[in-house]
Amino acid sequence: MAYRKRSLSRRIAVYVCVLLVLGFILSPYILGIVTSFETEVELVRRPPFPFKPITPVLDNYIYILSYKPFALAFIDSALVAVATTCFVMIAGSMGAFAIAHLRFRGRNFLFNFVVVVYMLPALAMLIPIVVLLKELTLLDTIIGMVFAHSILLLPLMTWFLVGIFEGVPPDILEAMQLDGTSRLKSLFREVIPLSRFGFFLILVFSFVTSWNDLMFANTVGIVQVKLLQPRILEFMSGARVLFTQMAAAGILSSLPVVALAIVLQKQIIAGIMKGAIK
Amino acid sequence: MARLRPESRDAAILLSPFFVFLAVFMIYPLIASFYFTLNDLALSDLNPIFIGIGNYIELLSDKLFQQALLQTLAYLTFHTAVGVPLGLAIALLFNEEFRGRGFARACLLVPWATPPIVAALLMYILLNSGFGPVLYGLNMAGLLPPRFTIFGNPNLALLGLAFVSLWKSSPLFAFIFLSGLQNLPSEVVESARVYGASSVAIFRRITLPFLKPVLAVNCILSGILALSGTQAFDIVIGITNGGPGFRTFMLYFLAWNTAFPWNRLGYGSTIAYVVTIIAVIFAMVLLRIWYRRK
Repeated sequence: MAYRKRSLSRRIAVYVCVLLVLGFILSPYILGIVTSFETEVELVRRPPFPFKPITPVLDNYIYILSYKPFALAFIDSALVAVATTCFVMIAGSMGAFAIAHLRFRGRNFLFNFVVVVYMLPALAMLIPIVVLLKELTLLDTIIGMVFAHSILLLPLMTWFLVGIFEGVPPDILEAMQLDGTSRLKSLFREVIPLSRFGFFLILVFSFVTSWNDLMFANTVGIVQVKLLQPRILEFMSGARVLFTQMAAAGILSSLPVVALAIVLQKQIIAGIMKGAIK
Repeated sequence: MARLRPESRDAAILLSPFFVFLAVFMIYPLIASFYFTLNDLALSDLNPIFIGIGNYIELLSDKLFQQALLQTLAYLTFHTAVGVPLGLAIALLFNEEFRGRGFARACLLVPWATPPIVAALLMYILLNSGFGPVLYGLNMAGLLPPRFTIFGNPNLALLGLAFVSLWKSSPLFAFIFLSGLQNLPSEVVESARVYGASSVAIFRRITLPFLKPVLAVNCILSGILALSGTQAFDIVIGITNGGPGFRTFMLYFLAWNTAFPWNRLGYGSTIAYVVTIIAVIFAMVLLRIWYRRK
């Protein structure tokens, strides 16, 4: 009896705490979504939202989706994120496969070097990169942006992939080697399919990092290539965009990445379990 | 010339794209970056003027640099000392049995996936003094004076930013802790409970030692994020842009501003190098504490 009572009050406490945490996590989104459906006049009329009813309108979404700079930035961001992810996955998994399964001189050094490079602040690299890209006339181009984003990702992703690929039993690879299958073929036919959970995690992480990046995008892209996050910053620092429209833009720009994270949540957990984080 | 062993040859072929990229876009820039710190250099004309350790000497008497350094350390300490334990608490809570646990866990990924600049925008709306409900509610409850602002207040702006970055990071820490908890051997916990161990004792003697490696990962991650990650740049430029009166300038933000808007690549690189040194010290101190406790 006493045990049941304690467990009931404990269960209530758990639910209350869970609701508090979820409130903390979700309240900015709830308010952001509400704001994106308000008119500007409604927004500034006190009291603020939970203390007054609102009548939702679609004007902000209609405006922002037909606002050309926003639509272009959305497309460019998607292009850059997909291209960066592909490049990082290809170069990274080839390198990680070699580090994980082949013996060669300097293997350990390379592995440690990759970690050290990741620990260094990206800005220390960004400053010379801008100079380099300017000299290569790649500054303010999509290709330059893909390279810049790959700097943020390639060392860390390769390091993760080494951990993931080490889980593939070497006997399979030896057997393929004896059959005369090329290394590249065994990488794409066997290693990647066998470690797909970890691979998913890396895929999501790369896409999200590239899509969300502001600092590199704001520095490498100037006029020609303005990605989504710098565009939102521009809205926030006082361009001719209303607050409610800004909220709509923010919700739209977080939609692809948040949806991706929620849909692939199971794969992400499986990927972490499979040793991406050690 | 001796022929390479096939394995080394294959390794070389597989590693070549990775290595070419690393050399051109990372190793060369790292060396160039150090050379920049010895020069006066503007992006507009790219004509370096060698000034030796002039940039480093300027740091010593730079009031804004010193202020940014202190603010960075405060931000970093808060982010780690509050964010990581909060993450652990959330993880332990979400490890309990309750209805809707899958949904709650999925929510943990939402702040991480949110673009930091959008996080800044959403939080600005939430904590705004004009149309944000939080300050209005506290005002109605008589806890705060009307027209109270967080981000416009020189004494509170930095704390406000730290709160925003807490929203972004602590659920991520919780998610990582939670995946560590999945490997906790439940038989051990059960038998401890059967023998009458209290929850606190189980946590201190079993759960916490088990989570040690994950705790280390989270602490280092927290350091990187607060020092030189999105938390140190995107959120600052989005909400306060360093203001009011430089009270939310942190080193990373200062380095970027110096290099690009203020067009002093050499001095900006020097500040970025200081950030690098702090990152290395932070990681070393952490690992030191770690191994001593072992």
